[in-house]
Amino acid sequence: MDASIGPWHRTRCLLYFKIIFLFFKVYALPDDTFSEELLVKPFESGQVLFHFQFTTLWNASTAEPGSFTHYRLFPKALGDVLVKYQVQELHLSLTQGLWRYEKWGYPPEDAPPGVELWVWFLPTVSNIDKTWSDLVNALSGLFCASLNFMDSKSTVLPRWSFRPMGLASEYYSFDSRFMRYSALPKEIVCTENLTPWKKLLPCLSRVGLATLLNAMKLYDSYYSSLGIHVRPVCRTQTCTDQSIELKQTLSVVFDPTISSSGYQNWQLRSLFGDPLTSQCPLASISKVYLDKAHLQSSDATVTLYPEPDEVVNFTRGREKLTYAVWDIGRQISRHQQLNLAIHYNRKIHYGEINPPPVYAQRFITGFGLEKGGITSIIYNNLDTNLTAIYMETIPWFLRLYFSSITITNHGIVVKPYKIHYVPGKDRARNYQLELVFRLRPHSVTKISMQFERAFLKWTEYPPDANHGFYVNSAIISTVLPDAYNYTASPQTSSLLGDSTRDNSTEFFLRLHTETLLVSLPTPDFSMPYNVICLACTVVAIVFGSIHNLTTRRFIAVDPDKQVGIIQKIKNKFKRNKPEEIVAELTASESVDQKNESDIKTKKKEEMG
Amino acid sequence: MGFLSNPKQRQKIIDAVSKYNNKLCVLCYVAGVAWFLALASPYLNAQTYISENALLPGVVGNEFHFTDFDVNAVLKELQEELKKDKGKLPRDWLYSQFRMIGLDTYMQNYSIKYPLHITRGQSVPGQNVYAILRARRTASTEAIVMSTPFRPKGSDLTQTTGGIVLMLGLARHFRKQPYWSKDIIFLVTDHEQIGMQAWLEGYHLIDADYIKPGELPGRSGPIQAAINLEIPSGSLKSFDLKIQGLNGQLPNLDLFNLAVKICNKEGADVTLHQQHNVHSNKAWTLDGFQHTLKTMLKMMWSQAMGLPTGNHGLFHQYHIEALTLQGIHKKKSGDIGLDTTGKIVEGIFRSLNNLLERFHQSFFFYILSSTNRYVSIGMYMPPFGLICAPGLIKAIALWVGLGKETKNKEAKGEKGEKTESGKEEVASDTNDQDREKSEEKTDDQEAEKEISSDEEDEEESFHAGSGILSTVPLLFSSTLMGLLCSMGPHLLASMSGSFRMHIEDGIFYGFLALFTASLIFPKMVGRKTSKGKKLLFDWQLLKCIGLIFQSLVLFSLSLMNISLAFFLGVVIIPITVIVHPTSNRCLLWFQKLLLLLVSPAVLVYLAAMVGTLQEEKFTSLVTLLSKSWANLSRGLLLTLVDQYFFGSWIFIVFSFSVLPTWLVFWGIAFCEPT
Repeated sequence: MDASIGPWHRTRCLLYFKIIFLFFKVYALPDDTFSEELLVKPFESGQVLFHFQFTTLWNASTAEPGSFTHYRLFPKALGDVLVKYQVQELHLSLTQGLWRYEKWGYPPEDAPPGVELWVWFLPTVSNIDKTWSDLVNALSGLFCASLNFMDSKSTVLPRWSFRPMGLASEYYSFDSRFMRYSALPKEIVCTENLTPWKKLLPCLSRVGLATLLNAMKLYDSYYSSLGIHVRPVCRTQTCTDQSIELKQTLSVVFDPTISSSGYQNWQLRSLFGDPLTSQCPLASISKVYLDKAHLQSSDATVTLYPEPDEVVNFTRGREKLTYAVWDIGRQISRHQQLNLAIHYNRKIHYGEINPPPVYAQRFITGFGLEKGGITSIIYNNLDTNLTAIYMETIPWFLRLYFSSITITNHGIVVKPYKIHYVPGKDRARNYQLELVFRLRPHSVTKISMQFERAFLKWTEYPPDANHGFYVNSAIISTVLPDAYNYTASPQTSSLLGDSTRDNSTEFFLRLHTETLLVSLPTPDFSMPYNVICLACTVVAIVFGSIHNLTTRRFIAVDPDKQVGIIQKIKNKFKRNKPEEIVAELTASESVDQKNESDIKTKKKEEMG
Repeated sequence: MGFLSNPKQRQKIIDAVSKYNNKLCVLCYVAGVAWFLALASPYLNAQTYISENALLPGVVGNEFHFTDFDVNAVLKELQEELKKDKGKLPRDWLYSQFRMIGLDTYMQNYSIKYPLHITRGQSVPGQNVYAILRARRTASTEAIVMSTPFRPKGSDLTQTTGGIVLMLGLARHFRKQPYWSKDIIFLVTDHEQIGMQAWLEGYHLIDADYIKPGELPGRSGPIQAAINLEIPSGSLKSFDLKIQGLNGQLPNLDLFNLAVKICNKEGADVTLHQQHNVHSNKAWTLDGFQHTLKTMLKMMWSQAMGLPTGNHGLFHQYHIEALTLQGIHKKKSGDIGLDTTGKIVEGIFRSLNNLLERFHQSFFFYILSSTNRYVSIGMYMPPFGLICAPGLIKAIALWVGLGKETKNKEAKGEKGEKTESGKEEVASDTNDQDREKSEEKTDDQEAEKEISSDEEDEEESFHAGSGILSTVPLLFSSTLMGLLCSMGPHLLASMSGSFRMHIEDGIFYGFLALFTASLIFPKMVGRKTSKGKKLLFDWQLLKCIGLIFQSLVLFSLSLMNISLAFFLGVVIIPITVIVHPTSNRCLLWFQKLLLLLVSPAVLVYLAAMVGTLQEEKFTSLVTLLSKSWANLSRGLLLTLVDQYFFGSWIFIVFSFSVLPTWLVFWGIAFCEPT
């Protein structure tokens, strides 16, 4: 029996299997792709940016919930949320630290300190406010962040600052009704947010670039920002169908000069704890790019280990750029690992750093706890006019004076093209301000406004009331004519590597300024106890006499008048004897009368 | 509280007060002064403690040392840079030093326009250098400042080169540490306090008239605390902590305690006004008491002056807690090196870094009798109240006396005297209360408002009766003198040029003239009587008003600057309570002499004398007097300049409350006795 199963039979079985497998493969032709990329950018100031980007493209659309049934690379946890709440676009960032534009140029994904979330809903959503609050709660659970605090008090509908980043009809993209924006500047971001974020990756953090994401190292950095960006994109060049794009980004800035005593040297092992030893098998692209812009300008000799697989020279705008590219798969097959390293032959020299074309500074002005102001200074180092949109959301307890909002440029008042102002309401709505105005070439524009600090109800103070209250970053949006210091991937493509093929002439820029910390008039919270004790004592002592004074009736009685017998008996039964007081009152009255008569006589005398 | 409802009982108390008022006054005053001074004894004050838990002082080991940094070489380099140009400061050198460390380094340009035509309209330029160490994980929402004044080689003040080098070393060390949660601003200012004010105004974007702060190219968040270093180079013997700020404001007691605790931890001697702590076993003895009393009075004297004792003093008005750590350098002795000093500063900064909230836990109003004993506001207010009580008791007694007088005269049926009916008395009583309230409000506000309210009061009193009405001219003219005094400086300064006088002298002699003029004002207001020129006022009523106003001034002052209120009260109260017109010539002249002794001009001169005594040893009375005279004219100008530059209100207080009150009492001495 056994002999009957000959070698031919075995091969036939295998063939069957193969055919079935082949058939299955054809049937489930992957309609999604995944790519992992890392952009490394050393800065003049000594720090280094590592920007990880994990992109999943899927031929599905939230507008057609049926397409979200069979998940392969796209995370189901997120997909379900997107479909349930009919999200068209979602942008979430969780950031620790502040991006220093002056020293580091522009980040690939801009984010304010804390948490920021902005969402475009499908036009089919009937009650957007309700959907928003449900969505926020769902995301809050998904990312272990207190997104549920993004209630109606802190949510706004920006009119001009935000447009859909992906595919959208013109009619839709100009209607901010479908959009919600909120930010939590106080939110502290840490490991508990990173772990759920990593779980959305198809290879998790076991293989591939994500193995570098060691929380201990990431949160000991100068800046670290997590991002989730979902948007619909064109499936093909002709754009007849939609795909959904999920970009998971993580930017982290390290300062290697501290650990390597003044040298800018670093290697993946020293910064992330481990070198790269694997590639995500599900990824179609696994690449590392290194922006050599600074390395070329510095006068030190810089050596890269290992040699890059490819060096790409390209121009973006008018800016000439060079990327060194390593293909992770190729490197690992050759060396078993990729421990990217840079070696400088001399210590770092801190010189003047060329700032990016447009950057801003924002701060609280004035002192005292009654009034205050916010001033933003926007620098334009370009030799062209720029139109900028400035957006400010101010919590209701800083009562903004609309009349005090001024824009000046070297002392000359700038008239904004457009103003969108939504006054705040106590305990209900934030102040929202959007200004559209011109930034003159080579100039400094100053926006200032004054506010009054409200006195909160005592239950509204947080436990650390004397710490102060946070104010959201202001957002400045503009379009740059040049790509100097610009690192974001082009809007029309999904991958970081596509920036080498970018031939656009306009570059959209969104800046987030500093978050602010404002002190409000705060009562001494140990005081209520003292006050209660004191007030009770005072009331106990004074109450009796005040009550006595205010409720007793004083009657003027003529002492000459005969008092009836019944009255006398009645008086005897009364606790206080009114006669004495009455008598005194009448006495003083008579004195008064005498005085008056006296004055009269005196006056007469004087007259005489 | 029965006396509220029972007129009889109330009357009893009032009778008792008016009957024994003199004895009560003496008792209150003596008891008050004794009690207040006794606060320096450990029986009555308390041990300091850290109230803010978050500070956790000294929990971590301080590990600062000058790594890869040759202190002596840098110090030498700095001193050579200083020698290069005596008048100029090597700011560029400093800038490049900070830059080399890798901090965000900036320079602030500012210009000073001196008030009172001191520099004839020309402005003096200045530059501050500052560097910001950006905390790793926070978004620059909070900051702590470490500052040092930069002094040129030819400066009279002790050099701060040690502080500057230490700052550079600390910046290097701090940059490598991962634990910072607040940005650290390293600030080096020139022109002493003016530079500091310019930087603070620039940081908070405040537009000022006389110091024009230039734009600050870089900023951080709200400043939580500041430590100012005045450290000379070389080994130090001890550290002196300076806390008094502008207008007598003090930093939160927690900050002071923190500095003391960290110094003790590092084994460094720490003093307050160069007064060491008494040894613990001597603390409870009389010697110990004398020593702590001296420390307390020195501390109070310095606070009463209302001048900042260092650059830290300007932070307080921005609600930033700050103090100066001054290194005391003595030849031969001294074993505290720069690295120990560095460890102390590091310890303080690490504690400040732990702060979660602004300083708010501990006291803002306190008096220190040594670095580890304090007297809080709750402890010093009762004795102060006792010191001020005589004024109020006397006022009540006079008021009651006025009422009685009329009653008695009623009873005797005399005619032709000023009287007030009982009803009107009640009415004017409430009026008085109203006045008190309104004055309380205005006292904090600008002085101009005060005048207007005074005038309103006067209008009110118009209806109250001829008694109060009669005092109006005197009250009005004394307020007018106050107004003249406050407006004087500008006028005098603009005139001194045409008299070819130095501005300092112009203002000084101008004020002397004004004071002399105010001395003879009773003669001008007075009317001719049978006994020559006399003031025909109801002096009792006038004194009553004067005393009440004086108490009001002292009490409101005590809430802002207890030391000033204490010294003023102690000197003024006994004399103002005693003053009354008399027909006894000797007594009258004695009174006038006493009054002159407590006149604002003499008080200021006495203060200058004490100041001179503190500065140098007593040699002879003549030199003391002459030196104090010179100090006085310089001090007057400085106080005025402080008013324009920093917003000091000492001069305003003197011209709008101390001088007019004193003039009222001066007028009483010229009144016709009844």
